Amino acid sequence: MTQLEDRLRTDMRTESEQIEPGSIPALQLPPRARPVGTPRRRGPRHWPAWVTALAAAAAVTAVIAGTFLVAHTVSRSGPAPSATGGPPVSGIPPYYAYAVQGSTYSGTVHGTQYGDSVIARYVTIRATASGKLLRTVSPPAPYNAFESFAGAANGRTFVFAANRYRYTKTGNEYYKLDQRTPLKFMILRITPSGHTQLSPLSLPRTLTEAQAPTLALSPDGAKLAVAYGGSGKPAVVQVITLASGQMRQWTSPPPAATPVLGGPGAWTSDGRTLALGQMSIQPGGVIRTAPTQMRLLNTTAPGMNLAAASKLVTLHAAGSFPWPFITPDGTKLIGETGHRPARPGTTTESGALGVYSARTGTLLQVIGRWQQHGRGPRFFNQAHQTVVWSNPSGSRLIVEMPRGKLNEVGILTADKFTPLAHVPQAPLLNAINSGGYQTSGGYVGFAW
Amino acid sequence: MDASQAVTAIYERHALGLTRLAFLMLGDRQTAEDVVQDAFCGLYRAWDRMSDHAHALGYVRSSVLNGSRSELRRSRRVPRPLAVPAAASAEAAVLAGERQRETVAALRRLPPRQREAVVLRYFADLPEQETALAMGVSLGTVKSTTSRALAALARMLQEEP
Repeated sequence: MTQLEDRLRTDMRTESEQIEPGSIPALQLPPRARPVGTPRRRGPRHWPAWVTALAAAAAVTAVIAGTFLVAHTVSRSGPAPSATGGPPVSGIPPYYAYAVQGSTYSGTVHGTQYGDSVIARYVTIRATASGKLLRTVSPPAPYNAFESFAGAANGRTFVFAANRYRYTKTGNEYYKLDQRTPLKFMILRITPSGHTQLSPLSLPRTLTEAQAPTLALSPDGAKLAVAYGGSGKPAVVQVITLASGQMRQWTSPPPAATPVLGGPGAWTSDGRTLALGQMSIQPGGVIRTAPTQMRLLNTTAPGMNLAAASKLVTLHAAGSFPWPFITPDGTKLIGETGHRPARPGTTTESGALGVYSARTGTLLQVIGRWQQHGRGPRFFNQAHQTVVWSNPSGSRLIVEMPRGKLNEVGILTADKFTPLAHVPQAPLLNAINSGGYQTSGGYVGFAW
Repeated sequence: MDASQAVTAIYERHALGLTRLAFLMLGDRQTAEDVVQDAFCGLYRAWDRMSDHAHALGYVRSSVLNGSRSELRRSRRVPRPLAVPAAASAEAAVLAGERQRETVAALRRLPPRQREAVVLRYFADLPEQETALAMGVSLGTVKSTTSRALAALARMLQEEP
């Protein structure tokens, strides 16, 4: 064996040992299409002659249509969702986006490792019922990360905003998020048969990372809301009809809070009302949330003045949650309340979700209570509860919430929490965006 | 033992090694796990059609390589970060990490076929004949591909081939 071969063996083995024994997920086998032992159907099929002719014509049309489709979008077939969905997954979005890896770009300088967090290097789309991988979406070169993405409540439309990390050697930073290059948008649609269509998406106005926009797709996936600005700049909210490119814009001059959209929980199901959180970013980047107020924008009202077209709702006894979630029927706002982080010298942390009247801001109900007894204050201080989906009235939610040593994703009904079997769980987390969290190993994000 | 039990048993024995192999090919753990899961699902679907189940491991290994190739083609990803364990203060650890980082970086610069040959020969420790079967190429192709890969690595790492 040569020295090079020896080196290859050693270094590849060491590199591969990052994947530790016992850390591999269990095998998820698909259901069998045909029970073992069931004979295939044999013999000629008795179709009328006109059916055969029609089928031949349809096949030609399909080939032409398919060629056209490939020329304009990147299309790939995929499996239909599993038919094994039991009661816990019925009625909830059939697919979810999962921001995989969220690894860090890292480099070593003088023996010290530096890294930058990346929200998503790429995103996988999986079936909620089975966890089956439907599609992987990667940023188009030269982009190399997704810093934000949104899913429609129908679970079949997703929008991704690709960013670019550039190599830099400024100070201790190795890679830096490009603030000036326009964000690149992509849209993924999943057909009823489980096929995916990924297309570039052009927005009427250029957006950059420096604007730090937040996104929310309307429940039917037809409109995209974008919010940015505030905190010393004009606050801007845009609603873009994706089919036509038509855009409506509302603004508020400074001083205005930064409007924040919370993904699928930002829209009511009729596509009229948009719920916006209010965040204040102080000089130096210190973020202060205005948790007691939400702004409800009537997107059908005339005018372009954000303050005039919207209503401020003050939430009574609210916790600190900048990401608003409005129930699809528009009657309630839901968010974290009563979160008590572990204090120095204590080992217990607790929290719950508050359900508020969207009309008056009154606290109606407290649900999803949780309590953790840890080994020390540091153990729990990254635990958060986030709502990522709701049925029309808010009586059935998909939430992520602390359970044991994990933040689990599951269905919350009448204070009963049932984890979803095929959604990845993560160790202690840090809420970053609607339905997203960061682990020590990277970012895991959900957009339903 | 039915197909489900048989495939699960093979998975439990070989999933770790195959995931590590895919990880070396792709540089990304989650994708590696997905590729291995898909390969075993393929094995499960093909189980009843297989004439000799003794070849199941070879079948699934080839599937993992095919899946890795597809992923590389599909994503055309930027090079993955090199997951060097965070070096502590010990100089030796830093040096070892640097050397490993260089090796893996050089490996990832190889064309996919050459990388496959190197990973199968020197990580999976497969003899040339089995490497040829896994890659779906002839024995001669394995020899020439491996030789070219070693020459390229030697240039990049400034080592004797």
